[in-house]
Amino acid sequence: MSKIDIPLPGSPILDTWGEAVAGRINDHHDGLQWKAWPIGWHALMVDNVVEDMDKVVSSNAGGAIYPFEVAGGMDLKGYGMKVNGGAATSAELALYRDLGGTTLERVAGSQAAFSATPVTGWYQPTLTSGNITLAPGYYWLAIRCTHATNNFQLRCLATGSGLSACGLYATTTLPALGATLDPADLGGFTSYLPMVFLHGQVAGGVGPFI
Amino acid sequence: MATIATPSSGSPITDAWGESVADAINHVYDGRGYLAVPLGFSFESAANQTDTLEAVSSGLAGGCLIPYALGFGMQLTRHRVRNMDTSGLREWEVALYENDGAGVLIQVPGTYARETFVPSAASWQDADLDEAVYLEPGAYFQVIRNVSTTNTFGVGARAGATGELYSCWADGTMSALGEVFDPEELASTMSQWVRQAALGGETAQGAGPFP
Repeated sequence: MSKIDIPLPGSPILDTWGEAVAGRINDHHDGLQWKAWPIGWHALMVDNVVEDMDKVVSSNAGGAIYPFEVAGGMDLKGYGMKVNGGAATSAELALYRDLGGTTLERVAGSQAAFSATPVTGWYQPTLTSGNITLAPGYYWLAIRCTHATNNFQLRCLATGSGLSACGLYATTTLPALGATLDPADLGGFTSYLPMVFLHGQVAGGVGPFI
Repeated sequence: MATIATPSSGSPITDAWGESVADAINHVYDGRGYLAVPLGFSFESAANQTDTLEAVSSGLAGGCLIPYALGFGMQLTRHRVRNMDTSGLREWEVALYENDGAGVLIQVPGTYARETFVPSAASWQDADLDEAVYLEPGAYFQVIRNVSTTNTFGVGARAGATGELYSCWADGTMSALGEVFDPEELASTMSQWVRQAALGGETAQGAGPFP
């Protein structure tokens, strides 16, 4: 096991960037980020297709995971997603990380739920248990249909001959989102870039920062 | 100042996620990246240009240098490039470099790879590393070079608008990739094209659809 020296009074343990480990533990040494978009996204994109996530059948459903880089650290408030209009539907969301095991690990407190008879547009479900702090790093946002009757449809951009590896999807095989997510439950890569984002809170959520 | 408790034997200091601080110092506490794309790249950006890397002549060939900014750690397993050729034997070599602050770039050990293939259509190609290499967050340069003595190598690119400088290239002036890369081998002006390339990482230990 790696060893950490005990700090002398007034001498915090420093990492290789010269920052205090205590600060890293609290993740507050970084400026907080307001929004994070999926890797490969840019602001000129428009949605032209839907990722159709199948309704729940025998406990499994359709869903997808999408990669995000959080460079600044976030006070994560919730998620943004552009939903296709249609019949009543619902979905669950959570954030996962790769900690070196064979499964992805859910970030504690990152769960959120969506339920509506949607009109095509942006929805912003907030975290079920309130804001959480995200350290800078690489994350996977999982979205899964939870409706027993109707599919959940996420607006996306078909990426054509650009790099077609925007995330991974499961047509009908994704169980309820739990503490771990097994990649074996996913079907393969999607070439649809989703209209989703991570929504952070900055400056206490005042003024335009809501 | 925040204080850290002294660890007892067999009890590592843990952060808010239950991970050891020792790992945090090594940056392993961050989720590992699966995919990194060049600065300025977008998935929507289908290649509309071809950077034609010249075949090797007298030890020198065409190549290009592509910048990345990793905000996360990554267990690098492969390099990816959009090849625009549709026939003929193609061969490329690739490695990742860091700036040493002294006028040259230094190859990240273990990141060299090479691939030979015969394309029938434009395609994404992977050059796999012998074994995964952990990359810490930071700035990197991916250098791609043609190693065929017969055929050129077409790298897909997306033209940017005027003033947007994304990468560098070498017209037949790049020597074989080694431990040190000299930027003097590059053209003296930067390119307005975003090269279509990526870095691929190992996620969830290659389980499921993760290669």
